[in-house]
Amino acid sequence: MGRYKNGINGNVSGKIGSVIGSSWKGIPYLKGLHDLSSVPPTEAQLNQRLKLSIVSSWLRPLLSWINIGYQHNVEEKTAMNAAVSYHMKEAIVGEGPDFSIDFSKAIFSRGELLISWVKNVFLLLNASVHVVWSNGPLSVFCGASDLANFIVYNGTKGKFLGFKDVAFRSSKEALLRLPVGFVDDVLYGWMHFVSEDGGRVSTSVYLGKIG
Amino acid sequence: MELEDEIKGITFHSLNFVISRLMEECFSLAFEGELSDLKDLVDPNSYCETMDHISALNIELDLLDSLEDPVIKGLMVSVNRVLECSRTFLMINGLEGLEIIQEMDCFDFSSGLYYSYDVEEPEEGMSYKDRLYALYSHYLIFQMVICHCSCLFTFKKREAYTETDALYFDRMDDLFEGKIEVEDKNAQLLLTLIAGLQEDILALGEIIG
Repeated sequence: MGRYKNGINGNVSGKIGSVIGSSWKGIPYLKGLHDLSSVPPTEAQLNQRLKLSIVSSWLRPLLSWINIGYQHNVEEKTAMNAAVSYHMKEAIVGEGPDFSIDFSKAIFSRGELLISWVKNVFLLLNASVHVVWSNGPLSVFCGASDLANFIVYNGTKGKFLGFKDVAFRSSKEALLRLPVGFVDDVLYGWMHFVSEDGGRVSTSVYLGKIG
Repeated sequence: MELEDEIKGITFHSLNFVISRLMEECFSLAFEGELSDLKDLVDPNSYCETMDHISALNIELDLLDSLEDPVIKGLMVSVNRVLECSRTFLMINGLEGLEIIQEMDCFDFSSGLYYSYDVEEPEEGMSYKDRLYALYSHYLIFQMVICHCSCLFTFKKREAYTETDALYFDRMDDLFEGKIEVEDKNAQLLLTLIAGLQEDILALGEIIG
């Protein structure tokens, strides 16, 4: 049984028809007893949902990476704001409903450390990925002790692998051991550097399709 | 129904979706902590589904307001903020909430709108920490829904996905700093709410890490 007092500041308490309501701390709040409409979504609604689903499902497994990788230069934004914004604007390609991510434009970190030049990426017979890079002149933005991090995306299985602190920048190479069942799949990779104290990052570099 | 009235209805329903979702998150977190005794006994999104519904919302809000968890306290700041915005929205438009909420066409359209942004699939077995990180996504969803409603008023349309993307993604800094000014009073009210919610998630971020 519900009570309703007319007027802008009127109160509703309890259930009236399909509505429940209350006045909490003097603020009336009404809630419909329906969670989801049975009306089919419009084409525009479906397209927006599809785009956000792709970006969201792409970024979700990498939240901890995103929080580190987008920690700088975001000012009033959260790392998630910055990452979703970038991928919605730059990395989603195609026309609805055939949207997809352009892997070459995906970026998992943005920062002031310099990137290194990736020379070779080899998929070895022992199910490892060998990455070789060369460095520019060492500086505060390109430290020998910066740590190399890698992300490998298995496009066949839709799974991410993260390799943190695999090698120092000065070592100019890294070996990434893949799990069983990955070597015959379609793989994509990215690399970035994090300063030894974890306070600074480089922008991530796309390693391309591996294998 | 006139387009302007329809947009007002869609907006009021959309704000209710945001409040409901915020409260659901509060309960989900509380079930992992202070209210762990209730976990698996009560659904976080249907706590209010009592037999008679009487005063159920008051009970929910009072209960959540009494919890000590600093994250839930932060979320309740947002609940209050959206409730206050909703009240102001009704007042400046001279509307009756009870009438609007029973407009099923507006409910159907706002449901479609809300779930075109809320694409997060509920996950079983999420830890407390997982839920904290997911708040960043939830606030982004809330802001985009509210931004969409603001664009409906500005552009006088029933759908404004392109305009919303352009405003939210291209002018994010100005939006969050409350620097965007528009003529329509309802659109402006909603933009102010977005900036307020950004303050809330940044404050929550200090706790979440």
